[in-house]
Amino acid sequence: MSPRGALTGCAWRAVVVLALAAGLAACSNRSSGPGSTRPAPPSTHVPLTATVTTASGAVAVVAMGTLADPHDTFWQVFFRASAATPWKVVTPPGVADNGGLVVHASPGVGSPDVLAGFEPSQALAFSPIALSVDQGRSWTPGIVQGGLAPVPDALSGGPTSGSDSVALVRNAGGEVLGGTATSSIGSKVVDRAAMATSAAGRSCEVGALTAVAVDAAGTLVGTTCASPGVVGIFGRSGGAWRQVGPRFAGRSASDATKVVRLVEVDGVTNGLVALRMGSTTGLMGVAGTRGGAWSRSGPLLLGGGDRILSTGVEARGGFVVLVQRSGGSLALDNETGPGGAWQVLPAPPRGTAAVVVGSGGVVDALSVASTRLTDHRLDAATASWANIGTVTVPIQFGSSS
Amino acid sequence: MPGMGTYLQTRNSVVVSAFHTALLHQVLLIGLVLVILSLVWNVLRTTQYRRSVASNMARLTSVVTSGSSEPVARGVLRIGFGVLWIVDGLLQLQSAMPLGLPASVISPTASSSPAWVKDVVDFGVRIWSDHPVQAAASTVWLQVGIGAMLLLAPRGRWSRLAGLMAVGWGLMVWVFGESFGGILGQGASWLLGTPGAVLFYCLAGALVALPDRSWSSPRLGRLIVRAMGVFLLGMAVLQAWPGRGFWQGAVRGRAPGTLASMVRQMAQIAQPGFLSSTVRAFGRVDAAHGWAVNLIVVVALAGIGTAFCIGTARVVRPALAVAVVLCVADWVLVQDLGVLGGVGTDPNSMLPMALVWVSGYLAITRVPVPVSLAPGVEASSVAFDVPGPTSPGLEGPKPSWDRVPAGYLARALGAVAAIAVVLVGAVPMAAAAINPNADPILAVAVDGTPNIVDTPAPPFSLTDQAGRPVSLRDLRGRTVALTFLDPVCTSDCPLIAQEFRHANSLLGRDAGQVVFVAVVANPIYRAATFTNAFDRQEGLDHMANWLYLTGSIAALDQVWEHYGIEADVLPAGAMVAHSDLAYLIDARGHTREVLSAEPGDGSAASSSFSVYLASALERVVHA
Repeated sequence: MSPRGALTGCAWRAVVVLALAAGLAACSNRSSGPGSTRPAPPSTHVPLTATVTTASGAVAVVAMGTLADPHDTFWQVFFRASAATPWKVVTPPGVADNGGLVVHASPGVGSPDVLAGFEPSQALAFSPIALSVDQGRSWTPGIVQGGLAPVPDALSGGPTSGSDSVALVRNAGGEVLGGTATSSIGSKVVDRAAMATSAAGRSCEVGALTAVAVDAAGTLVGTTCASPGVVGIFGRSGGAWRQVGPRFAGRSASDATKVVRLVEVDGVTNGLVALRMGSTTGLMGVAGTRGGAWSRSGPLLLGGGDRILSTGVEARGGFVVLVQRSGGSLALDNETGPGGAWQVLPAPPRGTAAVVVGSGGVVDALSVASTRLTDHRLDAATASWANIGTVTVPIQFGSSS
Repeated sequence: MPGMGTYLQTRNSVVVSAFHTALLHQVLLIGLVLVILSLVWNVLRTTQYRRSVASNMARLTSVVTSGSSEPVARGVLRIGFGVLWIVDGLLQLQSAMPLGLPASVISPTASSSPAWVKDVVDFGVRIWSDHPVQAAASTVWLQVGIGAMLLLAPRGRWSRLAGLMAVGWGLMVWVFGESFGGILGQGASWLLGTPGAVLFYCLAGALVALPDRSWSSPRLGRLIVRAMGVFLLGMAVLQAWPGRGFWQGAVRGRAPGTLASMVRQMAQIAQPGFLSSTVRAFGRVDAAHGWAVNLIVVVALAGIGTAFCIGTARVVRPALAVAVVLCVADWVLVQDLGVLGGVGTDPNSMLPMALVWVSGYLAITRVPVPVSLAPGVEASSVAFDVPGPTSPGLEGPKPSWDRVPAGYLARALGAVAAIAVVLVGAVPMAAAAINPNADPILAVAVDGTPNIVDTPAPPFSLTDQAGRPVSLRDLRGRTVALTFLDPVCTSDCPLIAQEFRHANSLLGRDAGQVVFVAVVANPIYRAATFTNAFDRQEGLDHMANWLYLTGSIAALDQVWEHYGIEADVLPAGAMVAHSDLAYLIDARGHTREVLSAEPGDGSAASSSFSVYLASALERVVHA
């Protein structure tokens, strides 16, 4: 007797209907689960163009050349010892940097090291890196065994030159590697899947790894969090990853988040967090320590057509953010200290690519036109910008074609 | 040298010379076929004559010419497109065709098309670009052969076969050469050649391939004319569609309209002065009165289209006259005859379109008078196929070919010759299409001919990717392919590495006698960490006969100097500039060939250099 024969036609139809109903119910239960009705974390893009002010000077990373042609776009690292000295090109030599440069330098009184990593481009799939302990005068080569993720905090280092360095690479949808900057960064620390399935990762609903930093206790990893109000900053403790970032209360408690910058400044972790706030995105600065209290700024609102052009880290912590509004105008905001409120600065000149807030609150807007970098300084009294110098870079056009 | 981007010029002398040589060889081959066919003709005619004398059979020819004549409309198509195919074939003889056709014609045509069209066209471009000499020479003979067959085979199966060949090859050209005639691209317009000249070649081929009975009533003619009418009405709507740039001329301070822009480009093509001045004059008129010019075109297309749709001879006749005048005007003023500029491949769409219209009109008005034939005999079989025993006066036991008249025999042998010409083109084209390896002539064109030497190779002593010491002396007994690679190079070095890897696979058994060696060409990123990362990236870490050597800067400097390699650290984010050279060192340790390894615009997967390198290594291995 065939299986179908064991049931009458009517009973058979009932079984089918029940099975369908059960299937639909299962699907319905899944779709109404905790993750699906929530908004996804914001897709805010933060470019590699960045600045950082350290105890020994300021570092800026900008794209120059013919920006419309990737083969003729060359990223440059500039350094100046103080606000009174001119910028110098200190781009590490030996590798084509058309894909972009990621630069890590410790703000505040940390290590004087500058660690630069080359984003993969054309046929190069891994990332050469270079470490300088003398403000870019000389560089020691190294390698990341993978392609650096295209985020400003894809590289970070500990207080001892080159040791305990970490890199966020593109492998497996995001992977953190550790090692020594002057030889190889290739030991797996954690990947997206492992982070997402950890107890802390599940409570945050980790989507992607977005930044790395190193504090006194080890590696910190920034992520997206679909779980509302949770800021995805994780640190390893006792062999397990723990969520060390803050949990927002109040209005921000219902927003999905993405850590877009993560920097260690004098023992305090500074994060720049994007929040999906309905149709707009908010940028919020947070500052704190593992297991300690966290302060936070209010949200800096970005409209749908607004674009972040660059970010910078001040010497005492806190971020400066340059935004191109949907109408094309530029807007400049900086935090009044780590996790402090945003203050609006006068709009920088057209063409500004990056902004440096130096020691003593000196603000410089760096604009790029092909091979020339022009520095405009803000006169706080008159709220105007004055051209204080130009650097011409010997770009080798055609060398990457 | 990385970053110096050596690309082939359209008239690269090496490729042009190879193209001419290939054509010469093919001419000789075709000449041989013609000689053989002449001999066959001679033998057959002699035999026929002897048999006819023997049997007292007089005047063979009077019998077979009694079939019906070819319909005029079909004849216009066949002869007209036969001539056009031959003209197109001869245009393919231009020296710029092997390298210029993909870069100057095919890719620009596809550039405004959707991505999937570009993908399809890229497939054809890839085949042509990898085998430019083979493809260009093949195209000449394919098109000349199809044209010759159309002209030489007026009726019957072979004539219809010629039509089918025209359809087949025409579709290939329409898809890969014309990007579907540009119908999916921006700026499609009847004035500029939409839907592609070759589509009319295909249409004509399909009509020629129809059985004779199709032409025996005006129905086919009306169908052709009405279809053309619908097409023209569609083109009128497209032409009138706002926002496509055809209504505007060239207003100062604004981008010129689509037509004005096209006419400007046409006027810049190298051409006789009177033609250039005529095109410029029209350009000025369109720039000043773009709206009026487009209105005239739209009205004319709509009017002609409507008349064609009506389809009666009385209405079609004047519309056809206007249409032909419009075609000629567009051909001269907008399409600039279509054949100028060094890579013009056909006279563009107006002439073939006009031929189809005229043929359609003649198919309505000049219907052939039916000829009474024996039951079951089709006119075509009488006309060109070998006559059957039912032909009057030829009953008897003689073999059929014995009754074939001289003219028929000549045309039959001519058609065979035409098929031979097509095959001379089709066979190498098919071989090119299935050959994944690019023609090594490209490597010679990019890199020049190798230096053939026989001198002791400079010794070196470095360490391999595993840290083991390796010297040239250690490699004695094996052929060495030596090059210099920057492990963090973004462009040339990964391509050269892939060329080496591919050459290794092409060597087959000989690979066991060859060792591929690279020496680091970057004074900064020279540690084994980087060479190992490069090997993994390029899949060389599993290649048993691959060595990537490095050493102290002093050791590397010495090797670079001895082998004439420059490795300069450039500032401001540029990669290290170094020479791209390959040395082939024989089992005795003597340098036998020095090749430029510049990959040019070759691909990593199937560049010609790997084929060239493999054959050079085989020479050295077996020397």
